[in-house]
Amino acid sequence: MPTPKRLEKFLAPPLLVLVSAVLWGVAILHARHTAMGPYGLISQMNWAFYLTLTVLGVAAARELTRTPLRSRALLLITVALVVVLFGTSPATTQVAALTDSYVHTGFTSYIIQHGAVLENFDARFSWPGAFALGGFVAQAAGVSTTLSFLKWFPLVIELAYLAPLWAIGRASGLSRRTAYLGTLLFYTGNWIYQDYFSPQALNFLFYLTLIALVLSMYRPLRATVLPRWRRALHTWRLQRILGLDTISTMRPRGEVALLAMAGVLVSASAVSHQLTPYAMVLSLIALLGARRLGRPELIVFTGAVTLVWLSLGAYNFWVGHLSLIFGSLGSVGSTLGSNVNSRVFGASSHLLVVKWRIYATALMFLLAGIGVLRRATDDRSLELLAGAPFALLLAQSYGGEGLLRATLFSLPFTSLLAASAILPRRHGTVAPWIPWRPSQRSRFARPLLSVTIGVLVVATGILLTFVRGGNDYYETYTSGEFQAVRYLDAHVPTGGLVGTFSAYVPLGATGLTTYRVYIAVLYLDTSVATDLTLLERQHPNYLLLSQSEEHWGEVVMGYPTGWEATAEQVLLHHHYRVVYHNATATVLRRVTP
Amino acid sequence: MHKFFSHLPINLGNGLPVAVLFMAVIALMTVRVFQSLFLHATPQELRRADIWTLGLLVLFVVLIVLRFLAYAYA
Repeated sequence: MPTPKRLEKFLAPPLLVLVSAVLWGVAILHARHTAMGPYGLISQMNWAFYLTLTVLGVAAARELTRTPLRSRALLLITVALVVVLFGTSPATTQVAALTDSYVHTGFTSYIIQHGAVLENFDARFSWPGAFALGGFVAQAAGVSTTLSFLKWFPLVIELAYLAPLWAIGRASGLSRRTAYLGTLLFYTGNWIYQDYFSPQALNFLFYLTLIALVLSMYRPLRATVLPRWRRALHTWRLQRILGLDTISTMRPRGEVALLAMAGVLVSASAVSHQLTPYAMVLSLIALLGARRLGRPELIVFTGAVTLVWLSLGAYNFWVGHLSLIFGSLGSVGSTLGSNVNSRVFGASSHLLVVKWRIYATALMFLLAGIGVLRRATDDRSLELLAGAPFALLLAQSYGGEGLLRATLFSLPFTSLLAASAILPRRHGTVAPWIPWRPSQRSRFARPLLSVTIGVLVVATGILLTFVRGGNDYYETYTSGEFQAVRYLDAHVPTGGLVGTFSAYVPLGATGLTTYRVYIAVLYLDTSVATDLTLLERQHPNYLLLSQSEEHWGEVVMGYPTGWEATAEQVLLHHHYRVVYHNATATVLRRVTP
Repeated sequence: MHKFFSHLPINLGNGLPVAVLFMAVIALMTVRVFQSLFLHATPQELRRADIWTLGLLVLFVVLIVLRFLAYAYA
């Protein structure tokens, strides 16, 4: 029988991580992208994948409940969990996922080739900072395009989020255990696929870094002894608005240096993304109200630099389209409606994924609510930071994505509050709503805590794989589809038109200005016959039919199985013939005018 | 209202006044940060800087709004 000490050594985190790595390898080797079903990524995962998550969940639970806490072990476990959660999809697919990542590569390539942006082409080109940075990195790496960055970009950027997330956790007044658990929950709750090669992925890093900087720089000045409701009324006194209710943790020189760094971050964000700077402004206001920002100048600077870029730099975007910016001002009800309803449709498999996304988010907010009630604290910065991004919905529906983006901006703080539901801080100047009683301590408390944490990490990890990878059936592409796009790049004449049924094709990385693309389905109330009519009416020179489009039609639109083959037969009788074909893609060319 | 805004000078769009005001606001705020951190300015001196910053900031926002309106009703 091994002694407890030897068992401890046996269960040491590196060994558990090593076991999980071997199991993950087995899961990856077993997975076949071509065998993926309508439920997406999870449909190609076998027992080894679930065992990987279980081993990591056990390791996390064990480390989070042991004394003393070992930061290095927790870092190792967190990194391993991030690799498993966000590396499985790229490891099992042949080429990068998501059309937008290819389009963004196209933007970057244009900047590399021309040294300038393309005017009046796409709204995203009015905020070109991230594309220019992508071009700079590509040139520094000695490649002519960022295409090779796409596949693994989500994993790399998620790992980059880890540093500011840990800093936020540590600086927000939580215990280290709670901060580490909150970071784990952020990753197991981040199903919002905004970490692909895009400006928003980079800007989320800027956002996290800015909040981490500010939280590390300022502390609340004094404990308020007023009753709870009267204390809340003091939030917007002039004294607090001027930042006089905080104290800096830095010397003046250090504070100025960090403020300058924050200014650079904010400026970079203002020129590279439409939404993030506004989320920054709201979060900085929240921090000011929570006595965690001592320099209101930072809010003014962020707002001013954002407005200046919108007014001068993004001129191409809004001239003639002012309603795009101000059209949904104040109409929160319709914004929420369009954000939620436009996503709940499709075949039963897709509906299940969408519903579980809502449940996953609801679970996180429920836990966060319990955390708010259970935790003692010195300030309410996390609560205000979790709520502030939703004010974005007052101004913009953001093309039906506003709610998703607000949830993402809120998630780092929601997950820390959710962790507080399980590991609440017990002492602080602001007392918990549900007071902690010493009688709650029993000899079963620690094992129970350990089991709760383990189950939560494993369950949310599996849920994340299901809901995040739920669209992989049609959002991930095969090398055959990519080869078909290569064929188009080589053969479509300048000024030509390429037609597709849906946007789920790996188009856009090249040929940005060579040919145009017409997508038949931009509306939901349609059928294969309507799509065909729309396509034929445009007389595209070439048509791209692919497996991803077929899957999208089945899962999202509810078209019958084999609908694309039927459509192809119709097209072959209407002036089109096959010029390129492989197992997952077909290219048709128009042969008569 | 439409008539009033359609007479706004469209050359507000050249951006120079907006850019100048933006730089003035940033400069004032930077001075205020240095005043309070290194020069130990009195509350009265800081308040004076605040009033100037606020005034320029209001002008800056008004100018940007006018710029939007000028293009919207042009």
